Amino acid sequence: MGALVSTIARSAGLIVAISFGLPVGAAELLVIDPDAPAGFWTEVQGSLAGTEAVRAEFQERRENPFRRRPAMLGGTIRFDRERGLSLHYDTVFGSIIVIDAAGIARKVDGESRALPIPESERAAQEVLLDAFQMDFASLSTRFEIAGEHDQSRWLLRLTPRETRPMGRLRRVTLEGTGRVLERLTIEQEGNNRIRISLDQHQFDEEARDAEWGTWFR
Amino acid sequence: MKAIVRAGMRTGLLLLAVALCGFSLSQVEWGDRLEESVTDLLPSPGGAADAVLAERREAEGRLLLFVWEGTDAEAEAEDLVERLEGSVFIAEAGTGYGIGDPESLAADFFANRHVLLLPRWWKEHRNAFQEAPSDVDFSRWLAEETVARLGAFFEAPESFGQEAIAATDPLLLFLRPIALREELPGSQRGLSVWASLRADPIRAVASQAAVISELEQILAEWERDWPSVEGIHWSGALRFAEASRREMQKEVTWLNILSLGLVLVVGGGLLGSPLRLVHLLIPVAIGLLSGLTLVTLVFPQVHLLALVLGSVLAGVAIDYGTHLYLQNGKRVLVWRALLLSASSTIGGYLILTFSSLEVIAQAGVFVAGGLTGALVACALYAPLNRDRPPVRLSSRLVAPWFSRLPVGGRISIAVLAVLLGMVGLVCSSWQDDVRHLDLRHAELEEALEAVLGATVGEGNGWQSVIAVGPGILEAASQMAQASHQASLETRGIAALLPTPEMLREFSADADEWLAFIDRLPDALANEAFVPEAFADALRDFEEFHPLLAQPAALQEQAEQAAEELAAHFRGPSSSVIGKRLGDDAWLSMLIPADETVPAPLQALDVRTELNRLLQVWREEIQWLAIVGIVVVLLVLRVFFGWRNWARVCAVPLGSLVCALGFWGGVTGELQLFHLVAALLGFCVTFDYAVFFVSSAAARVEYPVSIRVSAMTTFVAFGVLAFSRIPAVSALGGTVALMVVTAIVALELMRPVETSS
Repeated sequence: MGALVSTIARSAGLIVAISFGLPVGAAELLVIDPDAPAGFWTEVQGSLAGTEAVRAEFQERRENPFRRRPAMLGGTIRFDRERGLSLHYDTVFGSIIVIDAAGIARKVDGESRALPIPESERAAQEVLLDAFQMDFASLSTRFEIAGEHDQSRWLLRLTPRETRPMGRLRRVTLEGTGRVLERLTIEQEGNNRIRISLDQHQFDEEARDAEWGTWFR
Repeated sequence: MKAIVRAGMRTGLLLLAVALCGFSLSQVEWGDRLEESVTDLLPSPGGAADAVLAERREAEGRLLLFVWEGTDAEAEAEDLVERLEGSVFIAEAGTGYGIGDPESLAADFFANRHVLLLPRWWKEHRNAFQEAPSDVDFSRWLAEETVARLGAFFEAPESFGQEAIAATDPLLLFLRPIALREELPGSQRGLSVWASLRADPIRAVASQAAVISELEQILAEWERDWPSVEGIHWSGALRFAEASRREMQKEVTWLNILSLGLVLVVGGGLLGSPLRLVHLLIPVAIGLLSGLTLVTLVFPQVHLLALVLGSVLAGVAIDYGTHLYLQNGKRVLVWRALLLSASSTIGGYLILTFSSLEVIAQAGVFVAGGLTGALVACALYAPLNRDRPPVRLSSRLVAPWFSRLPVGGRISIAVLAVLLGMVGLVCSSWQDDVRHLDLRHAELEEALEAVLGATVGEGNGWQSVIAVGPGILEAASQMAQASHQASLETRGIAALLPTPEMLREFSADADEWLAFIDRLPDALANEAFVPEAFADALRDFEEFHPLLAQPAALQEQAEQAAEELAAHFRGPSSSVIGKRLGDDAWLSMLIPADETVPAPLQALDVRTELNRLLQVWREEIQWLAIVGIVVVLLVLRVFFGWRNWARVCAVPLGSLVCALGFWGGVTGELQLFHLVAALLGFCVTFDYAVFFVSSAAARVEYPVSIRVSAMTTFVAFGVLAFSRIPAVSALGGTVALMVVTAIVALELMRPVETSS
């Protein structure tokens, strides 16, 4: 019964969205968070989807059932709508992980090498790129999306519609304010959790430094 | 009447000799006796290792690789494979670089990690412990070290998503095949297709064009059906072999026609009629016949290259006839000089027969036997020994400018030329490259580069070396030992596999292994790991112990697992690891191209091996030539006074230094064929010097035969200098230049003419 109501509500939302010329993704969000003020999610989605480049500092906390002490990592994250996502870790060897349309790679000495990520773990990595691209139309095909808002802050919960193609990925939570994505939490089967907190955001031209291209594949 | 009988007997003897040589040569099975391929120059298989190597080289020669840019690479590749497999010329084909699915290879490695990866891991840690002794015992140290590495892995960015694998494999053995997978050719690049020909394209000369035509048709149809395919490149020994044969035939034909035509024009012009040249060619033909007969009688197999190296024979033998034909009534004097010159050259070439390399010994026998035959023919062939009116050359051909040059100026020119030659020699280096024997095919080389770039990456800086042993692990042992002795880093799959010694040592440590397992849970707990999460791995470790305690069973299982891995490597990758039907197995790895291949490993690449052989030949010819020249010149001292001996020595030696120095200075490099040409040039110019000095000593005029001979030699070899084949060009250019410098030297030695 609940599913039926949800479907009707979604369809109604779509009709409303199309009537008002809204992007399909925003229409979906109107449905997942009907209490949101008018235009809230449209604005969020529009500003996120309209962002061409982002650079931010990040802290990553990895928790898994094999170790009591979480692994703490940090560095600079770069997003480019054309090139993909690059995570530059400030470890001893300064690892660069690139996630883009071609897959997931490690960049070593200027050369990209595919990372041997097991199939079951791939979705958890790829969703990082989805989070920055904020293509709700594409996301909604793979995830059930639930939204919450509090003043200007927003929160999105992405739950895989089907578990099999998503491997061990169970839930992704995105938190932010306006166009600023502040936190990503990836939860996997078996008590695996990765939380990435971002700050010091720079956008578009301000984000693109002189060696911008070298951080990507 | 007596003279007629004597002439008849001589002609009879000559014909008898020709008939005997002809009969002997007619009995030769040329197909079996004459080796033509450059690969025939490689040492014949002496044992199992050589047989495997020869088989691997031939397999590489059969390969074809195809790369392209397309939008649906996987489907395009599978379709191309299907079409290729439909050809009668193709034995098998596949996508990628013959490794199949790298994931599956890594998975097989992982499944057999305890017998394939663990022994090396154990040995490495044993060595590390010995190098940095600790207060604690080995098992405790190893447990702590293992957990420390595991902790570092969990805290590395790249570990994301691999924590669960690490829990089943806390020794992190799985990272090793992953690193290997990254090293494997083609694993990081787009799809490519390989195919293996049924017949060795180097030997199956007749079918080369047909195979290429069919492949081109297959590719055209495939491209037509896949409009998304762009920029297809394909390469293989077949394309080079076919292009070489076709282009070489054209090149050699026009060079021969032009060279022969010019000799006929120049020689015939100087002698008054081209028909008279026939008299000069008779000793050459008989010389070649007798040389060939002798070399086929002495050696069971004769390589074509020996006959090419022996081309000296024709170049020198024609001068014998020229001197006799143009004797100008000085028959006794000419014969004395001829015998002196010919016996020295023959003696010099006999020294080459002491070479340890059969092809050089064959060339030595061919030239020495041929020159002897030519000399005998000169003695028996009546028209050459007949007195006839003196032939005089036009005064324009006598270089009058030199005749008025003062002695000081002449010495200055000679010294300057030799000094410049020496500078050129110092500035040059020897280059031993088998490609000098071939035409360059820019288009094919571009295709090869594109194919290699898309599959194995930059291949120029590396060479592939192969180890052969009774079993894959034995081959791995050879690889490890040779690499260790030569301080080379072992890479590729050879760097992962255990050796039999490693397995034995590990078995001997079976109790230590149990102690290590006992220590591991505590070590894990101390570093904040949850030992219970590693229960499966710890159980696997315990279950492995009984096998570890039985050395023979462990060896057998490891060998079997290695053979299973080898099954992943096909086509272009089949030389990486494999096993024949018997016990012979092989492993190969890449080492820097400039490294010497350490024994018992051997270079897999035929070109590397041929280049090495060329270097050996060049060095051997160099030393034998020096010994030969020194011996001949010293013996010659018996027949000449100091002054004349010095002049005889100065002409060929000076020409040799000038010519080699000139080409070395201009191109910066010298090759084997410059050296072969220098030997030929030495014989020719030495011949001129002997005739010149003998005539001068007898106070007769400058022999006209020297100029005739020099001009015909110059035009014949000068044409070769324009060949696109580097070896032929080097041969022609060097001999032509030596002839010119020798003639100039002889002019400088002539008495100064005063204007009065």
